Amino acid sequence: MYDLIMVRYGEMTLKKKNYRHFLKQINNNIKSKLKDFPNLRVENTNFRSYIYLNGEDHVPVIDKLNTVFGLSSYSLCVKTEPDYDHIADKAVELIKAEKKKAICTFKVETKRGDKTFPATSPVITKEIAARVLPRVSGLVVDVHNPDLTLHIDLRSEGTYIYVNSVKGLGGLPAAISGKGLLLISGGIDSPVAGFLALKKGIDLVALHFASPPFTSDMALQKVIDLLQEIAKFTATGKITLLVCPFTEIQDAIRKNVDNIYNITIMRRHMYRIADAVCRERDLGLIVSGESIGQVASQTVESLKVINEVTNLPVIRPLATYDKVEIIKTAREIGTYDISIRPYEDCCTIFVPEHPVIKPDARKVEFQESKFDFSELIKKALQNMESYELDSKTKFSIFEKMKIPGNYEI
Amino acid sequence: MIYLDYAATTPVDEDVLDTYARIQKEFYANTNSLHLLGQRSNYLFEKIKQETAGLLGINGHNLVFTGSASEANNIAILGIARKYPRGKIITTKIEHPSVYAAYRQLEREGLTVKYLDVDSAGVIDTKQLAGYLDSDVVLVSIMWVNNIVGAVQPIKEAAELIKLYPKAKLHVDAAQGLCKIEPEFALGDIDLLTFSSHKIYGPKGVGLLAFKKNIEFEKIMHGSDAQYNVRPGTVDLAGAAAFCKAVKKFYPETSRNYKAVKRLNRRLREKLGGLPGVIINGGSDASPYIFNISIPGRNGETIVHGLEKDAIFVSTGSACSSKLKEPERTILNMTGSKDIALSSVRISLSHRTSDDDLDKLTESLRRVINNV
Repeated sequence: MYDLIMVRYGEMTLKKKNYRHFLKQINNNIKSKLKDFPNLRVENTNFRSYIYLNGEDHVPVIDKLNTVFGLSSYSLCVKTEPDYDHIADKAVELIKAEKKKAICTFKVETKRGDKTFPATSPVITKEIAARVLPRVSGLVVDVHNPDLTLHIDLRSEGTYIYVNSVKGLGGLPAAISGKGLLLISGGIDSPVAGFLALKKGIDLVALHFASPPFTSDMALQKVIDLLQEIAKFTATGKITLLVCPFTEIQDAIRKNVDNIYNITIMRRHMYRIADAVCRERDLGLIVSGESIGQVASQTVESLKVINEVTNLPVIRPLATYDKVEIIKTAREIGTYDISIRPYEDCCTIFVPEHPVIKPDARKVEFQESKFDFSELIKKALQNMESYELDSKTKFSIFEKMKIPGNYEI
Repeated sequence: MIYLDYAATTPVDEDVLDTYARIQKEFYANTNSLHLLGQRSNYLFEKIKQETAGLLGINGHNLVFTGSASEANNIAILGIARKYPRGKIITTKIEHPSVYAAYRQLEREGLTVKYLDVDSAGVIDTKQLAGYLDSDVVLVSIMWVNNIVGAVQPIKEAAELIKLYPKAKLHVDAAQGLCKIEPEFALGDIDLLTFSSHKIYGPKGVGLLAFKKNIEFEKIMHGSDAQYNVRPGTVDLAGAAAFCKAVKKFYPETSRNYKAVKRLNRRLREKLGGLPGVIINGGSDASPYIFNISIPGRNGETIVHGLEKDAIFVSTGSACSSKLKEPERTILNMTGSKDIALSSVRISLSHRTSDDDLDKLTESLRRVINNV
């Protein structure tokens, strides 16, 4: 039924001199996300995009737009002829489809871009409202607080009508703000942190620490599945995963340091490795899912001691989030059900019964000095594995394994 | 032998059976086991669900595989009704027994259920539905295609009405529609859908409940938290794979097979319409896959056995309730006549049915009518 999607840009419209730069990026992002729909025609203006559907179903197109950052809202428009009868007919059809309550308040708003139409906007508004009202049951006028607003947009290339608008993802255009390294464990938080970093235009490479045989292939598959969900939101639909072999370092920590410091020192090593990866790959910052006070390693004191090993900015989008808020977002972006799969990850093994909650930097440094970790870190960096993940093709480590079995149905 | 009871069940398709046997052998580990073999099975299960949902256009739904569509109907209806025990419920007078009896049970538990009437073609009136709907309604069950006369219900209009009441969920039993009729509504718009594998050339013992991800149920079965906490028990991976295979093979053929069966139906209508004493039940807009006749004064069962002598197999009523000596509920509600309802015979077709099959049926039926 719909002919056109009107897309409005978000926060980037506040930019001044470098607005063109943002505009170019968002238009490229929209085009590349919609390239699988050959019939669409996208027209970009300064503050909006118009996506002409040309017969394509709007639902999958909207689904795709829901992965594009930088869009504040969309409206699904119906094209009609510029005369009262046609506008009213289409409006009735549209309101019947969009009406979500038995009794529904509404108003009409007209924008007459095409001044050749022989009546002013208020006149058109009145005329259409009078024609639509008696034809839809349960419709009541309320110009102050309507449940739905019928917009009539008379433009020179056509007359479009639409009802209300759907919220877009917001944020800044993907990949506009440089690159960062996401630390991803497999829990609920890190994918959400990754999503929020992407939302601010940070392109991501992901780093996961694996400690086989304490952690399993299933734990790795879980991280892969999480990242494939996250990859939907990147500019390219792709994301690189680096898997760092972490067993030897964890083993050395367990054997050599006072175990109440296990977690603090493990996290310091993770950040050391992350720092090295960032420098090697020219990534500007580290993104982590830590949330203040959630566990012993995420108290203010712990974060301070852990953070001391890197000079790179570490952004923690979830620092001030409550767990319920994090879970809500995780459900919205489709990572929650994956995150709750029950496998051990490197953060859940070797956890002491009473970890230190307010670690002291000097004591931590003393514990670390009991063993020379530098060789192990070098080795871990050398043996890093890399996976190129694409949101479109599901990557399974099971399909690569040597157990016979054909996964094609 | 001429099999004309496809609405009761279909013979399993060779390709589907191959898939079933292969998965049964290759992926025998429990999808809930933590070890690699188990997780491999679980991975395949997820993949099957995704592929099935993708084929049917229900990506926003959770898929729960059950032992039958009857079980899926029970989980949906009892699970939601018991979750909202103060809510009102609406259904039709012509639902499949697995829906109808579940509502009868809820009435015994003290819930109020309203039943929609049907016209002489077996179709509900959406005006009556609109009259019954209010903000207390939590569940509406309307079958897509009736299993006795093939009446196609106005699901699209019903969904649009129900959409106006955010608390109300629409449950559609799609067992007789899937792979037979192109839906005029989007399956993805329906809150809860039930499907059956053995109606579409899959194995018996596999049903599917698909529900929108935000829907919550009261547990009606207790056990593990498998399948979204809705249906405990070890997952029948091979069954799920076989269902997926059947959908993959037959769903894209829906339109083509529909045309073929529509032609068969017209032929049958012409032939049987000419037989003395035969009444054709249902409207001409019904599913062509189901052809229902009555021969007032005769007993439906006698006719079934008469045809059986010529190795032609048809049904009285639905196979699920045909052992009961009661007038057929759908036809009784359509016609108000006990006589017509007691003498009804259901002939259900497949795209594999031939003209010759139908000609033989007509001849045999003529003999039975004359002799019985």
